[in-house]
Amino acid sequence: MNEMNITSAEYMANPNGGAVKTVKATIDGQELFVPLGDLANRHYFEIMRQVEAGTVIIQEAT
Amino acid sequence: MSKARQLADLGNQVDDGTITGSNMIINGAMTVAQRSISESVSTSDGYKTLDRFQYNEMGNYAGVHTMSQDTTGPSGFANSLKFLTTTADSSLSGADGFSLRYRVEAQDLQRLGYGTSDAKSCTLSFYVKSNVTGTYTINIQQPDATKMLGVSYTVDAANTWELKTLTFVGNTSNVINNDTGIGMQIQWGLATGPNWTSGTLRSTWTNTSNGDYHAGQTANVGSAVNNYWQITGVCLNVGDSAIDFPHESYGETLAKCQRYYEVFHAGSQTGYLAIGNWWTSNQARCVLQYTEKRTNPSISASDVICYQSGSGTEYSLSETIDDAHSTHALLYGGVSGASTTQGHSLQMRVNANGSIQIDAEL
Repeated sequence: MNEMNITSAEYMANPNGGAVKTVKATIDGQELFVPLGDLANRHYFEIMRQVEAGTVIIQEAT
Repeated sequence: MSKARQLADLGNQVDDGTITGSNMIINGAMTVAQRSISESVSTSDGYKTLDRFQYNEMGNYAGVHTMSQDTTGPSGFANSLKFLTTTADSSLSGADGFSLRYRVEAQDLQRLGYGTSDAKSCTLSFYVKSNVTGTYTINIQQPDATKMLGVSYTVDAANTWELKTLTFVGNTSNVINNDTGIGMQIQWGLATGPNWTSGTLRSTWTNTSNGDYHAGQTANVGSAVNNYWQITGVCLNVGDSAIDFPHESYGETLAKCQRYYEVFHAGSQTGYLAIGNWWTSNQARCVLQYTEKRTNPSISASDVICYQSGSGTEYSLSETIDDAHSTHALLYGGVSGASTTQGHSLQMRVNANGSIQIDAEL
């Protein structure tokens, strides 16, 4: 299988302050808001897999 | 129907000459296509058209296909899933290829009793039609155990709907975890390079091995432009023989699909989405509610507008999603040019070209 093409990833600041809960990522050309910490979410799983592999870096929240 | 067949299917109900039971495949009649009814597919895997059925591309496959919801089928079926080759790849090498993939949620497979001496056989049945005759293979995986087996079928007559019925044994050694993950993956090989065919097609559950995935496959749907392959009436049931396809209403199938994916489209006009409020004078918020999902979903949002109560003024929203749960998420964003009062209510709408897509697919 051909892996997801993740071209950007960025933590989103919590609008209420506190812990970050979301990563905004562009995956296969689509901008997605991906919830953090849920490995049953296939996008989050793949982001973490590619982070582990060193092919994706999640940018800090701006 | 023979008595032998009836006896072989004690787990199913025999009623007036038909064998009934439940289908573990959702959208097997190819009726629901929330994303799109036709897309050109190449390069990347993904859910492109019909719900629950995924395009899978392998290696450096050069073929390009139109994947569509077709409005033809065998008797009793109004729709089918169709791959039409628009760019050919006639010389497959290495891991090149493509397939159609379906993933069954693990907790829905507990009835199979995998990992016990009572592990049950399953039967996969479907109608298929293609101009490419020959041998095709289906790889069936159990990801929790990293095990797989394979089955094969032949398209005997070109351009003719044929019913295929394939039975495979249960896995007595390895449990399917009782969770929301992938319990079983079914992969119809449609073009399979030598890396996938160099081994042996396994009739029992064995460790995954690339060469065994599609061993014995000779057909290549991508070998020439205008080749096609269609499928419908996909059914996976417990037992050694196929049940009659359990047709259901569009609404029933849609509701099942929405556990995995849901989209708000406005259609040709602006559509209401939710009531929210002005969190500040230039930030709007609302709670987005949806059908309960398999897991916390990924969400995309585009072309959402805020409609100021009373004033009749519309504002574009810089859409952001946060804190997505299985049933709801926060939709918020900055609104440029707004001059409003904090706490006042507003309407969130999706413009004609916009959408909210909520994705919890396997």
